[in-house]
Amino acid sequence: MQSDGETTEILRVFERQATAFRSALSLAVEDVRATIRDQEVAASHMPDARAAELGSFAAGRMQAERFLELTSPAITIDSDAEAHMQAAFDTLSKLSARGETLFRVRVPTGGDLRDAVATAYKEIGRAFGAARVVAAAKQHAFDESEHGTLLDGLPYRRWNDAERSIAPPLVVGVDGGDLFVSALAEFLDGNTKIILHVRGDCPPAPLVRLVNSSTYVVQRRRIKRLGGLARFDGPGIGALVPQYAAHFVHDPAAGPTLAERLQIAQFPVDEPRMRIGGYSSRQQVQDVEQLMALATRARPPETPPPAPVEEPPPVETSTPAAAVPQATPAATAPAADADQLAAWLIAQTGLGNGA
Amino acid sequence: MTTRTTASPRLETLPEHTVEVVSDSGEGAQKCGQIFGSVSAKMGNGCWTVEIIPAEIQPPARTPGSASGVRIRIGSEPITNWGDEARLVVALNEQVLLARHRMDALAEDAVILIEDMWATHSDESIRAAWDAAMKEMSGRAYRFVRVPIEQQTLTLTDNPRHGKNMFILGLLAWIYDRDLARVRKQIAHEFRKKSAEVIERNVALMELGVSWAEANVPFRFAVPPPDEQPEMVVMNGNQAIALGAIAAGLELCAMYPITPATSVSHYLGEIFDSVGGIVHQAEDEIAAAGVAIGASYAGKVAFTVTSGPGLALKTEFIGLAVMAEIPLVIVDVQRGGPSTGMPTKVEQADLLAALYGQPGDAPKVVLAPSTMEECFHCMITARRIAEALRCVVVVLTDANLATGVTPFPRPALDARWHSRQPDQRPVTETERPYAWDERLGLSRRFIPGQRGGMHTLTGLAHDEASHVTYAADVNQRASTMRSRKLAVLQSTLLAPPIVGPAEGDLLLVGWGSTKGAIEEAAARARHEGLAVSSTHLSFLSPMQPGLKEIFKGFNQVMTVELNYSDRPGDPFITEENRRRGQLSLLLRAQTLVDIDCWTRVPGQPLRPGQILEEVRERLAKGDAR
Amino acid sequence: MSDAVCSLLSCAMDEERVFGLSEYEGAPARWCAGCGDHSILAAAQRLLVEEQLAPEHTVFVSGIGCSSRFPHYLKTYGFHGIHGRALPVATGIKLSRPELDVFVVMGDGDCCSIGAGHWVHGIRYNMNMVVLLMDNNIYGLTKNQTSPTTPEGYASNTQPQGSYLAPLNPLSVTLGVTNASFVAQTADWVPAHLFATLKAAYRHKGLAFVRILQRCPIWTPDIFRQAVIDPERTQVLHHPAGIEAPEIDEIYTNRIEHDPSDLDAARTFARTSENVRIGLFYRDASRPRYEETRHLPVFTAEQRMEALNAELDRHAV
Repeated sequence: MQSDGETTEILRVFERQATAFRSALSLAVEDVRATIRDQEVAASHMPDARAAELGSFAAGRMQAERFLELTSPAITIDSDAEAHMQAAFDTLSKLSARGETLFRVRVPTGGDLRDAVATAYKEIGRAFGAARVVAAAKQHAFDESEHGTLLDGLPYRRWNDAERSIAPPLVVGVDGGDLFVSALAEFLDGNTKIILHVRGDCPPAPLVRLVNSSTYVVQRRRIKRLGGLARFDGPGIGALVPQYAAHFVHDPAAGPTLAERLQIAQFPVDEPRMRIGGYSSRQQVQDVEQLMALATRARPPETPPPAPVEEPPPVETSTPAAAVPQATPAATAPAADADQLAAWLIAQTGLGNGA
Repeated sequence: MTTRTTASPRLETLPEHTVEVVSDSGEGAQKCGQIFGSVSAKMGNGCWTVEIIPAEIQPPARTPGSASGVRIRIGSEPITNWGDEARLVVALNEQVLLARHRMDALAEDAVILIEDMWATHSDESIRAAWDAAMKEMSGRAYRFVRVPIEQQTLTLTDNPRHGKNMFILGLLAWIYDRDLARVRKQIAHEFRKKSAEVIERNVALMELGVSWAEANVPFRFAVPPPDEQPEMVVMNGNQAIALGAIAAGLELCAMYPITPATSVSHYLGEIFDSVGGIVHQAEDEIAAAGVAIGASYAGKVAFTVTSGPGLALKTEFIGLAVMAEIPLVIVDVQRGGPSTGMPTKVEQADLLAALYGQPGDAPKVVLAPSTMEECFHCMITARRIAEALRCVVVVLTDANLATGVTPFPRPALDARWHSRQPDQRPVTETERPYAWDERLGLSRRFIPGQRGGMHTLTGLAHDEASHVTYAADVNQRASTMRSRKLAVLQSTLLAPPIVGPAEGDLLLVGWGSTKGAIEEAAARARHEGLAVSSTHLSFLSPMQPGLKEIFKGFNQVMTVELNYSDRPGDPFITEENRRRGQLSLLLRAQTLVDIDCWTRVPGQPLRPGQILEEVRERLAKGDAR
Repeated sequence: MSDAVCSLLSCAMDEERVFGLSEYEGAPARWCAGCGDHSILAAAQRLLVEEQLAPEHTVFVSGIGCSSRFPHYLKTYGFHGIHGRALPVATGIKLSRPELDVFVVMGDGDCCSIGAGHWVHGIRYNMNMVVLLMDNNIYGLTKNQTSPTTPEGYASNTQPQGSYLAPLNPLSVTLGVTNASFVAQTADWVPAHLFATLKAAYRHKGLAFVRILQRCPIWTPDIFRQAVIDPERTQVLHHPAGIEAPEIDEIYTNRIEHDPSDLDAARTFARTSENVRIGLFYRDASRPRYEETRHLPVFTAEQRMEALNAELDRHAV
């Protein structure tokens, strides 16, 4: 069910953010290239080495080299700094050439989601590290202890605000049984967007543990439903989950109250009985209970509690198109949803008879 | 290449030939000419095409005013201008032919292939018009070949308006021995947005023209291409400007539609996205300048493209860019003026406006490409100068370069043309946005986003810190600094080359698109034994050095320009009150040499023959040594 | 910052910074005593502090006039351009550097007269920026000439018998333009509301057009006098989705309920009336923003040359 094509499709949704990062990377490459070229020219003592910058219209009409010397003196740096800059340039160029592959991660079955994401960000962080090396080299402020390892990687923990705000989207392919997302909270800052592309069986509501007042959280089945996450100005995480899992969106920009922010389009279809990978059924139930608690909190106090306890909407996994209810208006939906969820939970028996 | 051996008529080999195709507007003569020109260029011929454009979009048919078409000059050597008279003309009716005749566009013995249906038309008034036209043209030794163009075309299509041009293309292809495989390929390219059916029909019509010509035309001309030449590209000047802008690393083109500049943005609009560039069509000419200035201020490299009336509207913004030292490239594709003037016609009359259009002292760099190839390359130089000097660079092209198509050596692309960005290192406490270097007048540019560089840029008189001040000494110094930058540039310029001997009776001085015509005229004059040389200026502000020295070698110096000057000898015109050509005015002021001018405003490119005639007359009158 | 197209190199120099008022203070303001511009400047500075906008990432663009001195009195980047043309400059800045926070400051002559064309099209572009029209109903800097918003019959140096024409209504004009996404009015003498309006404008995604009624103590001291003296003459547009300034509720009790998503109602309330109306007339954050529509990636020199080479192939002989 998971393919490269889908990952590419996901990245299309997050294209603006991906583009912003790649553009910044391109600009950095060009900036450093020019500085390095200046050093090469200065070292070569060739009178016409820079003349090409003015183009061939200048040939025969201008003393191009003299013009550049007068108007655009090269920024010279010492040879140590030049070496650092060259190394940084190599790093930036290689990262730039990797294109979107930099934004994809695959967690092997049974692998550690947090470690995989941390590694991916450390790798992306090489670009920030290289930029810091360049900045230091230009200002003759390179310090081995501070900048020495930056080209090997810069962990997310050390990214500054500007770096976190320009972080590219990260698409993570991961087994449902390895969806331990709580540890990902560490990476949800700035404008970071993590998209979990779930393989195989999936717990019903794994992302609910990350809902807080400033993080966009979405669990949906279709890629195009991630548009809101892509547009959100701030940190966010999304998971593409199977039809039978809970489908909900928590959008901090939708309003000041939880009722406005939380929209539950669908509750989990089946009771969580089976352990999925490392995810026990009790853990799954904790998620669902948490979702219910949020849904209850989202209920506007003035709304009288609906009396009749209804069965949850019948959902057939075999007919997904008809089964997925559309999100209902925010102010009323969560309350009704909460009641439905309560009914559903009451209807469940034998919790925790998994492993 | 096709070769014919059997029963071929005589094949006359020529070094060059000039062809015109004229029709009523909308009959596709230009498309026919473009394909013929492109194929010739691709076969390796030198080539120059000029569009013949009626003033209106849909002028009445069969009138001299509706003459629309194209002139194609092809040669064995590179062709640098549109030539003098056409040697061969294909005309779709006698009225449009008459228009060309009246303009003296046709050679004394031109071969004329003309649609013959009008001579025997059922409408008496048409027959009468035909007879009158033939009578009017009878003074010349034109050689007419009557061709049943419409009749032939109707054998393959129901609507001859969409087909006669392809039949004519076939005639020309046979007469000039063009490579038919290339012609077919070019038809497919030109109609690539149409259906396969349309392309097939057009190819069939072209082939019909070939076979008709083979059976009926008693002559052929061969203009063989040279054996070896570098890899070439073919395009018009506006396309070259657009590609040059990309090559220069320009990232934003803000414009407002204006003839004849608009096609730069049409073409850029097609391709700019693919390199991350934006064409912004602004709400007016003023806003176009403002958006380009805003983008440039924010650190992106921007330009705007316009023509005379647009340049006038941008005047105040250009002054701001000069005052606040914001880099800006402005392309002015000159047309006939003043006011709306002749939008589709060529003129070189914006030179003084480009230099002195702003109230107050507003020093700018002005440069002028003289060929399509230079249109490409000058954009790179223009961008670099604009940024290096924090100044405005005006690129003056014209309608002749804009729409003319010619081959030139394929540019060898170089990433160094555009990989330099503004210095974004943080600004220290003591640095100032206009910390002019006392000698060079230059200062470091601060860009939004740059730490420590915060300041308020202003169009008011300001000091080094960009603080508004009207203090006498500050304004004097700031003005000096802005002017100094031009002197710095000038100190790095080289004297223009002299084509021909460095001494003689007459030196012709030109600028812009007239280069080919002037140099051809001077060469022909030298061939006739006259001591005539020429030189051509690429930088108009600041001027290239050494001009006075160059002028000393000649008894007379005369500019040749496509702008207005009073003719000596006209009523009331005296040496004292005579208004002169724009370059001659500048050169006189700059060098104190008594430089004459010969300028015309015909709305079309100068012909080398016209210039030669003037040269002969002058040297006959003058004190030739 | 999500659309940053600045180089990574500029990220490298980021560190935790906290900006106080002094970080935003430029030259001392030299407007006349009692001029409403002082209060607008104070509100803007408060906004900068509250939103912690990095001074180097903030650009104030202005035209010419009293109000257009505004950028000089701030320590951000400023662009004090030419009369009426602030919007094209701001368009160029935002189009090429969408990550910058752009504020446009214009007077009524700038916006509604010489630059009126740019105003209409600027609204249509709907770029993410704050546009302040500081409307004192007169040309002040050039000493008392009639402006497009001068009340009919009001005498000035150019129309000493009184203005001949009914004033142009900037709110109605703006609300009539396709793609308008945020239109509000406030007044310099209601600082709490002024600040709340600026904040809502800044938070809006799209072009936030704010007309600020502004007193000129020298040339038009009478025009807003009644409204200043008598709070009953000021009607506050009220709605949960509107601009909230609870501090003024006690004084300004003349309220109208108005849902800012209702364009027709906004146009009705925008009509010139006896009373001054302040508040949010219209907001639609879903309108397309031009800089996003036209957003393109930056390519390296090699990538650009590659594309150019392919293009030259099309012209190759």
